[in-house]
Amino acid sequence: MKRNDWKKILILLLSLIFLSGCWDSRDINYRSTPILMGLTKDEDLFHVYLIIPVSVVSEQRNLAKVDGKGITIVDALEQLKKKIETTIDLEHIGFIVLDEELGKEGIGKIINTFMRMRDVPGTPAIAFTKEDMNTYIDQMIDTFQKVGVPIFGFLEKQIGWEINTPEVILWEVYRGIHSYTSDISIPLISSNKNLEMDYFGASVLKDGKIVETLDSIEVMLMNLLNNEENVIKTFVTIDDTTNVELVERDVEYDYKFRGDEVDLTIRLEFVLIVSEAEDHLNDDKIQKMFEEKMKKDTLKLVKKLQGKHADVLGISNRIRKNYTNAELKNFLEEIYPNININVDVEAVIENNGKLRNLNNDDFEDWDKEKQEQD
Amino acid sequence: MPAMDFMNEIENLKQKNKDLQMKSIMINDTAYDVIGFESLVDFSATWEIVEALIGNQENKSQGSKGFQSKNITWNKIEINKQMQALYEGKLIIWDRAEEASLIVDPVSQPLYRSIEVPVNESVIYGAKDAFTENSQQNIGLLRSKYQSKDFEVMTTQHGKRNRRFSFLILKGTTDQKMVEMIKKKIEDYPNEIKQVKDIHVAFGFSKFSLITRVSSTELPENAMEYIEQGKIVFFMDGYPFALVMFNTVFDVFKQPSDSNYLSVFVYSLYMLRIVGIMIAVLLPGLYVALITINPEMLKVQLALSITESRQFVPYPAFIEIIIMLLLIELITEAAVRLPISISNTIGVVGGIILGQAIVEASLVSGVLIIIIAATTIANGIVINFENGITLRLMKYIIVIFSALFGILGHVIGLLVLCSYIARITSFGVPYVRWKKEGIQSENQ
Repeated sequence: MKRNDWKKILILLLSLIFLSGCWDSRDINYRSTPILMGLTKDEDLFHVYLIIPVSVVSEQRNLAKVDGKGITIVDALEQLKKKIETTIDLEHIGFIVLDEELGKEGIGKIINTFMRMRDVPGTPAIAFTKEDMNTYIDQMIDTFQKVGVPIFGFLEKQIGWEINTPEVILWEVYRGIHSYTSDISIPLISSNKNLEMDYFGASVLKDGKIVETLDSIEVMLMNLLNNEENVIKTFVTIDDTTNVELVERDVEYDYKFRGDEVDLTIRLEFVLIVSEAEDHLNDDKIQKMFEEKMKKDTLKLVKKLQGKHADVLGISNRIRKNYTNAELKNFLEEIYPNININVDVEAVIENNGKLRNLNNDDFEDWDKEKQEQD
Repeated sequence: MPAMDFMNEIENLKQKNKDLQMKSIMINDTAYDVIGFESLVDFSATWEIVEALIGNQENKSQGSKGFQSKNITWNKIEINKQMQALYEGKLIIWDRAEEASLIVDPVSQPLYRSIEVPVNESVIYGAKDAFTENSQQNIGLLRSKYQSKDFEVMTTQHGKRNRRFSFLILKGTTDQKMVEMIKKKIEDYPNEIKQVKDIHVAFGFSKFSLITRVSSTELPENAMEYIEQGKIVFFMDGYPFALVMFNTVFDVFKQPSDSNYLSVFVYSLYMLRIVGIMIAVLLPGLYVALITINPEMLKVQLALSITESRQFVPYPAFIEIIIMLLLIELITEAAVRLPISISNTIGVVGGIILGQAIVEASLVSGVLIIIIAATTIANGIVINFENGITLRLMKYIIVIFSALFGILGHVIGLLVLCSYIARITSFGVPYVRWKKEGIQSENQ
């Protein structure tokens, strides 16, 4: 190597070190990583709560509650940061819980703020809580210390997610608020002394405001109508004595345009296992009951949502390519409520629980033959 | 008088070298002197040969018929040549009367160890012989593996030491021009070639290269395979390894004796080695990047347990990992230097006491010990110790980049290393090349 090359390499190395700013980064043990943020409003001030895991060697992992008040959310966070010795690193926040009252006023601006903040990731799950935030956070910490369950596991797919919970994350809420053709529903919860939490269903947001509440069965239907969710181990109660388990589900949306009118046929196909039934019912009857119930419930849900001009099922989203931007602006108000909806349900019973059922199987004839012989 | 000259010369030599022996022998009334270095020649065993030879000579002169070697002729050989022959371990028989001499190959002293099992490269299923310091023996090992007229050996000698370099040529496979060129480079090198480093210099390769271009192998099986692949293999006298030129990046995780296993297992073995190389190079850097700059990429649970284990560690992750890596390098080097009986102790001290105690003293985190252990173990998975050294050095580059720029730097470091490896060539033949057989330079 020439002497000149060494100079170049030296300059490169020095600039690499001095321009990188690596001394500003803090190690992981000097950062606090909150996992849950609670947001409420006290009179005119925003009140932010954070749950921070505190880990001390050779002791059980604990949760700590920190809170701060401020005129804006960022101000409240700044007030909160002053109370803590370490850096607060919002990048690990997994859940944001909002007061239901905020939802009634409209959470559009709050969600915008979260999207703007660089250190909040786009992926925390969002939920509303019905009760006082302070009690709620205390209750959560208490439950964790008693039971040690992962906090908010019911919203995480790998841990405790069920089909009757809507799964929404921050950027989806943002999309739901700002999209012309789709809305979003957010789970509504509260704490409970005995269990980890109470689940009340989901609030449907329109332009950031709660307009309607869905119960857990309606949420399940909503998830069934969306082809993406996994249906394995989903149980549907048909009436007081009958229950089926879904094995497979397929949904098709069939749109037909007649002038200004839009007809929509939702074709649902199910494969079932009978999991609970009275003995006198045979497969055909159960199948018919199931089909009728699904059809009725689905129509009811869609009508309910159409009445509120809110579309959490993605019905309008699927045909937005047929309309101009100007038409889309008022799509949910003018066109969506007038879509004629028809539901087609087709169910196949795969097995009836591997029981010997005289109403169904071929053993009947064989029994008769045997008796005749006797 | 040449005779007097010769005797004077020998007397002179005898004064300076006490191990030079000159013994007189009378056969059929003729006096002969037998001269040779005692340290190189086993006289008592050679005696029989000498007697037989001279007796043969007498018989020949009497005109009798029978088996006899025609090569042995008495000559008036130049003094210098005779001296040189003495130093090469030959025996000189001097006929006083006719002033002629005979250069004989004697039974030499057992100066070379016998062929043993490989020490540095262990094989499970595969040939278990290994090269020794004697390059004649090494060539013999290869000849026994390729018994054909296509196998040729080209030899050159270099320097004051008169060191022999033997090139192995397989007709039709080996690039003869390349061998000639390499041979010429060695012959033209003005300084003494003492170690492999000097060969690098003679070939004009950079001294600061991270990747060895003249790699060594101890196994004749490997060497034979490399010859058949068209790589150039040569021996340096006294160096108990075959030197291989034009090795490729695939030689880092492929070994000829692998093929003695089930094919499926061989492919999984390759995968395992690639994963091992990745771990050895990338894991320490990843630790630094994730701990210092990008902790948001960890899962919460993992982040918390790392935080827990790093609770009382007083310095940044970069310093922490450098301390640990340094300790491991020290242990490795100490284990090489020390006698085998003591080096086991080093393992215990290093592994158990240091690993356990250093965590309890909160000097490094427990997670780091796992990382370092994984790195050190994975480092040993590559074929050939030389490649392991390369990996050992490369991981520091990645660590430095990661400490500066986090995950981004980690990727940049990997990119820098990849482009460095990609531009390595020896005599125009790239190091990263797909072609399995033969060598082809970029310029062709």
